[in-house]
Amino acid sequence: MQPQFTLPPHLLAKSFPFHFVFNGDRTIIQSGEVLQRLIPDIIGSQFTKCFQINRPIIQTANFAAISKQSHSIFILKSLHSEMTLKGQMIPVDDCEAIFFLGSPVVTEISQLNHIGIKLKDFAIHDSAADFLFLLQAKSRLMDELAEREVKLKDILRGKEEIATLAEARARDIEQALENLQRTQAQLIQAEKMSGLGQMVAGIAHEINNPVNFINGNLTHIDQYVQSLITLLKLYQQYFPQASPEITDCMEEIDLEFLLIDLPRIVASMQTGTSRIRDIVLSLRNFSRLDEAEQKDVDLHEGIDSTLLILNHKLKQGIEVVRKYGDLPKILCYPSQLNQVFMNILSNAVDALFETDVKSKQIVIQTCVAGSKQVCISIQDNGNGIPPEIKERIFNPFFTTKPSSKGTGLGLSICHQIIEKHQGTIDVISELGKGTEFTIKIPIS
Amino acid sequence: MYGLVNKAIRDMVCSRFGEETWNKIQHKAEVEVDTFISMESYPDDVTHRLVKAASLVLGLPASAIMQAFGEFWVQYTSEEGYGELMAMSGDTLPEFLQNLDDLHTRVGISFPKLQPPSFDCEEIEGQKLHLHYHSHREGLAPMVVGLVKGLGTHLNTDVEVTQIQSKSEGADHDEFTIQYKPN
Repeated sequence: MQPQFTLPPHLLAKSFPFHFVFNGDRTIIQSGEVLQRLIPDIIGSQFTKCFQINRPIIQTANFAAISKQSHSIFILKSLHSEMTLKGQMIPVDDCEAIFFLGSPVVTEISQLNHIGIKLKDFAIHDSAADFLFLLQAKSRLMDELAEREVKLKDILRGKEEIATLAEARARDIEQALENLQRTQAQLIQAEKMSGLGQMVAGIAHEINNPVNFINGNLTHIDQYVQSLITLLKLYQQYFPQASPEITDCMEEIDLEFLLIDLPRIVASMQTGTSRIRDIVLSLRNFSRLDEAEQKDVDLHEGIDSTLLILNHKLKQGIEVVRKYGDLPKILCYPSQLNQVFMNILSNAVDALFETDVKSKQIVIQTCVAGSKQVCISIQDNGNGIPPEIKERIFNPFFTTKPSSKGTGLGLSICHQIIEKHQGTIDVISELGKGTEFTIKIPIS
Repeated sequence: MYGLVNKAIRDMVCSRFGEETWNKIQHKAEVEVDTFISMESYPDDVTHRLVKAASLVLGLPASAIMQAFGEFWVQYTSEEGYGELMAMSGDTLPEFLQNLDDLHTRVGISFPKLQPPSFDCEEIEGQKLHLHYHSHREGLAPMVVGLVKGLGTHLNTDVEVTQIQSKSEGADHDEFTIQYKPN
């Protein structure tokens, strides 16, 4: 059905506040209320004096050319203000006129002021205002999202900081636990060593007395034996013709051999007792119970005492090569350093018991390294330490030995004792070739 | 309700009582949304729970909170990017109240899920209005009182609002008498 009604001009002007109409010679003959307010001389003005056509591109913008573009979107730039209008040209054939229906292009509410219009200037049916509000809402939303992103980043940063802190705390706790375990292990070992030291010292002391009087009496026995032999020889000299009973007895006891062997037996007993005295001395030296404080000591003494204690094991086919340098006396806790030598040498002995190498050897070298420290190297030619466990050998409770043989505390305590002396302990090991521990201790 | 409403409740509580109080309210309301997005739609229940929890935490009746929120809402929206829309709605209290539905219609373009109330404002005599308020929601009449007071402040007009008919008492809708005097 064809439309029969149209708006009267005053309502059209109200409903399309930005419309205008121009005739064949492009004179503007009518316009909307708001446009008249913005361009007071618009009525009667030439279209080209008020507007420039930005779109579509028309070479010669005469009435006919504009008429042909009735299906195009027109963008008109006002020559009097910042305003740009968007709309369509509607040619009316009956009266040789073209209607422009459109409204300002605005993408931000703040532009309204520049143009000199208000939201109220838009017709109610015009969605330009809604479009503006929608854009504004979108812009607010973008701001909100940006704010939220900043907040989230802050929260993430905070969480990262907390995580870092928690990690650090966990590391601290782990470290504390490790220290605690180490201290506990050290205490246990120290207690054990102390008990062992006391026992060794006690035994050494108890053995020392009888050995001393055996040794003391042996001197007298030696003299008495010598005297009796001298007397016997005098009898033989002055009474060569002994009675048959005496002659029989001399043969029975093999007097000739007895006279040769008896001084030898005494000498052998003296050697035995002096060896016992040496062992006792080494035991006391090793335990050094009387030396809990730091003291200047000869490290070679400590190493030798330790070797003497391990002698029963070393005798089973292990050669010890000592390459001692000229060491100054070192201020240290001697019994603790002896414990270090004992642990490393014991391990070396155990390692050598497990190897098939023919000439089992422990080489102990000492020297002064630079002017500030002494260096003790203990090297065995056993099977060596596998690389995957080499990093863990100083960890407390780490052991490759069966539980009945090893606690896993030996080397960890060595490490701590050397640290206590401000020294270092390093290990070099090659599978099939052996292991070398190098201890460096500051001279002062 | 759109997030803008919940955001406004949060801002009102934070600006007057501090963030700690808001955290208590949020916790009591069992609302776990950390940041409301203005243009996101949330269940009405979230807003109801927040108002109820605010009432308990602040020791105020819910109606007092709703009225205070109504007043705050006018100021909040004018500062949160809806000032031009409000300016478009009118320069005087009667004009503004008469355009409230248009305002909500325009807001509905940006907020497609909006279920706006409807207001009908009639001028009775000199500086006296009757405002009819229709809403499918319950219990928001005190907020309308606050809204009108807030608009009075916004338009520099003294207002006195009295509810003369209440939906909660069986009436078809809420109705208010407004006595106003522009300054």
